[in-house]
Amino acid sequence: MRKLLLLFLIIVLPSAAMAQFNDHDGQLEVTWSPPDFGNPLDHYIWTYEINEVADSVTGQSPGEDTLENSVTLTTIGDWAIFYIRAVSIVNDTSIVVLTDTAYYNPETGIGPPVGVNWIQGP
Amino acid sequence: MDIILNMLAKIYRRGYISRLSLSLMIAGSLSSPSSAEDGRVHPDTARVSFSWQVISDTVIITIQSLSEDSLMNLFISDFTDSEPVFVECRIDGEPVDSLPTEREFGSVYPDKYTTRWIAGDFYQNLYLKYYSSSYNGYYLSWSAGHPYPVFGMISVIGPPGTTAWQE
Repeated sequence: MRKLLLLFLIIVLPSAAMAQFNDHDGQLEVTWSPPDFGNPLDHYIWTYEINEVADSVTGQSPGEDTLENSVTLTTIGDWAIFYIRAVSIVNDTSIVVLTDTAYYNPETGIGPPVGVNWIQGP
Repeated sequence: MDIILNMLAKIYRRGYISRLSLSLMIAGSLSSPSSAEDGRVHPDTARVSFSWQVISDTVIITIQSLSEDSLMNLFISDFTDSEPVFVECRIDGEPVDSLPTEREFGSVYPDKYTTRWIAGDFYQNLYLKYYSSSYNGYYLSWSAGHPYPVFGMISVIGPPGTTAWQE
């Protein structure tokens, strides 16, 4: 009964680690919006965790930026999580927010034939 | 939400889930579906969780012990433009009619009320709600003296919002 309750809680409680995003070209782009409250914003500090390696790529963005696209995944199945925090003009630091996990997972398939009129013939 | 926290704490104490898993679960439950923010706890963030939110000038604070330890000698401080009014408090799930309170005007910030809500000792969790008109102060903090010195404070800048991958 206790194990069932534990399993139930694991399923119903929200967790960022359970969601994922499929990126089709490996070029990662992530956006965000400015903080909703607090001291005036100065810049953002961010980092990527790639394939379980924390701080694989790190950097900072000015306060007016809301996009980061400097990382490319090269192997299908590679994954990344993006972490970002805001820093105020007096160096107060916000809590960190993180994205869903992004996987490099291009779609594959066969499309319909093009350029031939099958009814009228050649 | 407090019921969920109590259940998680009991499951953690019985060793069914790791501390990290419990912290992730609690962070998830506290930040969803409401707009509660996680505060920062020093020095040991793995033993105590702290969240806060402001809804229509009403401040809600939740402090949760994540270990077997009882938090003792705890008080909460805030600095507000108007005199705060006690609304609700629950200690370990039990309602409390009032808390011992110290209040002064201008003693710390010249134009603000300094209020200390003295919660004292509790085992697992504290829930406090109070109201202060035109609440705009990000000065909330709390401290406990036992079994180890620990304090918490809110972020004075919000986190980036609506973070999302783009194709």
